[in-house]
Amino acid sequence: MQKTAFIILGLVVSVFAGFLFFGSKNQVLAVDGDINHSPQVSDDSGISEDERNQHIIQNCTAIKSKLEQLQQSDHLLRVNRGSLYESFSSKLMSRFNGRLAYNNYDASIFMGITANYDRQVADFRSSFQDYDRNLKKLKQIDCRKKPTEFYSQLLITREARKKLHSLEVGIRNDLVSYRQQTSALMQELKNNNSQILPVINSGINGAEE
Amino acid sequence: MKKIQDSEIGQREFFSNIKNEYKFGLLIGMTMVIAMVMIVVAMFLYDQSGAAQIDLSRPGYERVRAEMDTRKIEEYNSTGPLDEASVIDFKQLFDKEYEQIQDVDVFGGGPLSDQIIGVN
Repeated sequence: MQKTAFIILGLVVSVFAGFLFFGSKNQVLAVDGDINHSPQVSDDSGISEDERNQHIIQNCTAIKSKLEQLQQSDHLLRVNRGSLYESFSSKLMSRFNGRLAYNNYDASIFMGITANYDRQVADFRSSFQDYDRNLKKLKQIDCRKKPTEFYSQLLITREARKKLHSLEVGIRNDLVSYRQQTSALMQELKNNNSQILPVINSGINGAEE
Repeated sequence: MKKIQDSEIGQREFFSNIKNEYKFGLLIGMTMVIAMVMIVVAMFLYDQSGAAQIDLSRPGYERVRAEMDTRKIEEYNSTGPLDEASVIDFKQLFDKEYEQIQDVDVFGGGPLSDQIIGVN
């Protein structure tokens, strides 16, 4: 019975040791990757690299805390915006496109905007993953010991966030375009006394001459 | 040749003895190992697939969990006539949701700027 217990204990310990080993190895690799990356120091702020490093070292705890809060609020934004963007597409735009097609109205412009919108939302999801990975990497770097690497990673994360922001703006622009198209459609309906002018008579939706 | 055969037989007997003697222990041990491997794989997938980023039920997310938007967007009916009234209905639904995001600029560069982060 004792032998059995020893075997089980040995297996459990070896699995945990392996898990810890691989876990720590990944962290080391993540930091090593940053060391190899040549530090890009922006001169926009007008302070020298040494001064900046001093700032980073002094404010390390506060910076880490800010990054933690930022990550949490970004995750919240990702959840809220993500579900809203998906709902816009699945519950409103696609359904309105369906209504247009149902009434034999040429919905190609609406469908084009929706397709572009869906593509941007998909890009937004994957870009958020990239951004979050970079932010995670940034949090893992010891800013007291490696301020230069920390700042390099901060610049990379900032770029990833910029990309995310431009996608977000693109998504909102698509929503504006869609809204403008519905206004144009409404005007068209008004001009024709609420009668639609079916563009598709052949029964093939979206067919263009 | 005979020596090799003897040693092979000896090895087989040895492993057979171990198998019989520690059958239950091996069963438990292998079950635990398999379970742990599965957990590691599941955690890897959880992290890599992006599910971790939208999982606000994790520890440490209590503060933001309360701010999660749980509203359900009303669905527009995809069948029915296409007239002014139906487009107005759609616009009302659309605008109601669009107002939520219209002027709210998210993921701007501010929070990661040198000044806000405190590296400057």
